Amino acid sequence: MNRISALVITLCLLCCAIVQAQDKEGFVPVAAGENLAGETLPGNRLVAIAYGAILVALIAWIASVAARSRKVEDELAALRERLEKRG
Amino acid sequence: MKLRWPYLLCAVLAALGLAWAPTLIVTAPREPMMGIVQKIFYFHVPIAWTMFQSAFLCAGGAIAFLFWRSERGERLAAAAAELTVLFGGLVLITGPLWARKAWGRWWEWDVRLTSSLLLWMIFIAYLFARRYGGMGGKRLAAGLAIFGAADVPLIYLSVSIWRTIHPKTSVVPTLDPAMRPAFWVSFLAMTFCYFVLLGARLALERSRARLDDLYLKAEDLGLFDGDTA
Repeated sequence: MNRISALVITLCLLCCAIVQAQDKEGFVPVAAGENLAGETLPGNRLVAIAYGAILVALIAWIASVAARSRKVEDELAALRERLEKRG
Repeated sequence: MKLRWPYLLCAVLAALGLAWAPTLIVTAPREPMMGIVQKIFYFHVPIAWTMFQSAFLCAGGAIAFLFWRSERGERLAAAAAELTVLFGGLVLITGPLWARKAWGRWWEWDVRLTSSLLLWMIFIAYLFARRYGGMGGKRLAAGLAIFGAADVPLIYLSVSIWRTIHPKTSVVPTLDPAMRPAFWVSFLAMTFCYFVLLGARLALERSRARLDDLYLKAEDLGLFDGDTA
């Protein structure tokens, strides 16, 4: 039930973020010549963020799989022990 | 968690590739129109390709489960679906970072971007259906996986069929020779990395299957008689 509530709240927040973004940007096509002229956003920072995001996501996912595996292995060991005691 | 030798070999190659790729990406020549941000291409495209192969593997496993009742196929589909969500998420993070500089905005409701978002959402739906779908959840999820994989050719061909601002698929075969090492090393590293992650996730699914079998055996033996839920 807690998971479902968390999911509903996350979806509501996501919807709010999308609506907010639409208010600011709208569905306006990029005009010719609008792209790089006057652009001050540093590209190297974006590249670093992109590569960093990949590494962080991969490491987080590996940690999550390791934690889940440990939990299952512990449960397996406990159940085997109970079965052995039972004979 | 036991990993067999092909997985260990893949792990070594993935680690070497992931360590080497940034050096090649930094030293690769700059693209004149987009500047340094074009370098996101070197990992955005390999990740997208990995997402595609993951979606196909998931659909393959789902077909094996639906038509031949293969539990191994179901486990493969579950592992691949989670990785499709992971790599799909990364595609949807790296793409807008590139777009912000190249197009001046984070997101466009372009057919390539929208169909990629759709693919990602379908595989999230797969994970929810499999986990919370009750008795028929696995079969429902398998159907979603096949439906999701059908979106892959649409994503790939979208830039050729419809008018779009996303770069065409022809950028890879026509890549400048000086840019190729960075791209292909990154591509292979990500592919090897994917198979390592898939191996680890499959090992978890096998352990869960063993646990389920053991619970059934324990229940048959009356181990839980008298236990409170």
